[in-house]
Amino acid sequence: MRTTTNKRDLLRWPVLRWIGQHRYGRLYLQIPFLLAALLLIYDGFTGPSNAARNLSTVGAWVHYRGIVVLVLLLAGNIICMGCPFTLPRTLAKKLSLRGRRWPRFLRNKWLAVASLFLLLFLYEYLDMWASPALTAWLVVAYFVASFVLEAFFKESAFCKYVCPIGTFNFAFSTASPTQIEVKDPQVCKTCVGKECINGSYAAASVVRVDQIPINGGAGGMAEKRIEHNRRGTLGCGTELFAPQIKSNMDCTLCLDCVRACPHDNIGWMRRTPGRELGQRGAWPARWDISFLAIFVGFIGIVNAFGMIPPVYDLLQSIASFLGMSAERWSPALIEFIALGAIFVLGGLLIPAVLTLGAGWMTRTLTGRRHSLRHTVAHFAPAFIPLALGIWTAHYMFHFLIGIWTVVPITHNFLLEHGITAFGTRPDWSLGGLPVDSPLVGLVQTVALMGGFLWSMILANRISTREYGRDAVPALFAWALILLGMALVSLWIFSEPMEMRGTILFD
Amino acid sequence: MMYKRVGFMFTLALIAVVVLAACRESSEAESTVDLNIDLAVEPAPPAVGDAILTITVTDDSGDPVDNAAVSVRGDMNHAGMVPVLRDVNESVDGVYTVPFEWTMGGDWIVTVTVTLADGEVATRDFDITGVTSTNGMGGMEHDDMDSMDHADDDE
Repeated sequence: MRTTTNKRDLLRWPVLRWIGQHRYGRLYLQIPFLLAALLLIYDGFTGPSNAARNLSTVGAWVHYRGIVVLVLLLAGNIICMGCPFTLPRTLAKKLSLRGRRWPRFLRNKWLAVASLFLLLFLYEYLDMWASPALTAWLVVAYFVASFVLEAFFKESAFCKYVCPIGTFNFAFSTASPTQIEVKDPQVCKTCVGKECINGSYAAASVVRVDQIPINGGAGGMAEKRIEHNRRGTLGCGTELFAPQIKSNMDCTLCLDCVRACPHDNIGWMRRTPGRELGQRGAWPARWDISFLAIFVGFIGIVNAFGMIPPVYDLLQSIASFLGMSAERWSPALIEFIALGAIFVLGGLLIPAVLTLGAGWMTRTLTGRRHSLRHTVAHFAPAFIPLALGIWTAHYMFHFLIGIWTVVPITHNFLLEHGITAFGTRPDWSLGGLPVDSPLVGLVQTVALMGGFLWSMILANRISTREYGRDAVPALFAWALILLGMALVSLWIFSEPMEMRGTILFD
Repeated sequence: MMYKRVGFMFTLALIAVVVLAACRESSEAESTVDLNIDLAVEPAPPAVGDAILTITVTDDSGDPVDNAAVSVRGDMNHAGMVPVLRDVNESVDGVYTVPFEWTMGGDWIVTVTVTLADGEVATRDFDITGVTSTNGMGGMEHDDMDSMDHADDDE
């Protein structure tokens, strides 16, 4: 086995090396996540109905969300690496009904965008943040959906095309400081089995190898049979071919490629944060991918807007404008329509219109150098840093003010099961930073402004690369959109939070 | 064989969870005596900041209940907020005045627990909706405080 050492390879570190090479390395990371998910389900269904006292709601909506943005920013898609929802995958594969391919018309990110949109809308409309039971049902739904799709389809269809959490993580892992890379591309050129994608135990080969010459031997053609070995490793679940990986999009960091590679030629490498965002050709020039990159920022704004007082004025205004209040419709129906309108407008229509408008303006001002699709695809990655800043500002608010609330809630959970080793009175005074703490505001401001500046630098770099002397007119419209998003976000986060579960309409 | 093993373990785990859930004892106080507990909030409508909760405790006959230990716990209806806890023992004609603070705008659940001298306990939850973030009116009309929801009547 050839071994290449690369100083950027995180898998040189002992613990990570074990996770990356041991057959059950990922499993041992998934087990604590699984236990946490089961705990959330258990307490969500059987624990206090008050969200402030339940592990399900505090775990999912305070701690998970705060941790995920930090991890994506500082490390990479470790959340998907440890994802417990794919644990039933092996069982599902054994039950698989021939493992058919995911339908061609769904082999894009539109369904993923829709699922993320739906999750965030339902989070607001059904007040999931106030319901341990609903939160538990959401976790159950993830397990069921993952299992069903794995049973019926190949290509980790749930992860790649459906999962809202995965979609969120994929989008922002593009800004992460790590990436799967091959150590020596020459090794891959002479590799026969392509186990990184085929697996060293594959139900069906993705890449046929029987016509690949071995080491350029005489005649050039020889057959190499892949041995199906019960102790083998599946290849990349989302069918990424390691030597061609330029982006973290669709990479779950499962490290199956690392385990499967017989040449130890794949590493989890450190890289410049967000390197792929400014790299030409790193992303395919597809409408779905471009829209995803822009959508995640706008939906972040809408999601945060839904938690401040002006949203209730807007809901009331929409209800009055549409005459729903006068018709005496039920408040639940009115809220569904009015809130839905805000989400559709802010999360889908406005970004779509602005994107197309900016693309049109760029083409008009630069002599139509690129197609509209390519124009949008060039600038779309530049939205990721600002979007990440928006979500970081939002999630870190909840995380910082509620970081220690999990302690008395866990203590209370233990007491309810007869465990008094830690005392009989939970310390409910444990919380976090005060709501009006300057530090919270500072973190939010740094996240937003940092994200905005990073986006602007990226957009400028892209514009210069693609348009040369026309860089300024090319950049103009996109810079306006980014500035607008940043200003709106700053305003939102300067407003006090006010979460209401009940809304009455005049 | 593997399926049988997985099925057996799954069944075992399910039984364990059911038993665990059945044996679980809620840490929230349950009422052992019938008392009428009413809550009024000032200022009304409530807004972030200091407030006064006026708790009136009477027995079935309508007679005021004095010298009880009254505990108040205010939770927001979403996770991640520190509860506001207050205790008061003094009363006049069954009326207990509790200095309180709404620390954030939104919906709250106020749990009032009354413990009598003989150890009997009565508890009641009150939904306080629409605490505004400013002293003025929020975007929602707030109804008369007498029409507050009483979320959970543990009797």
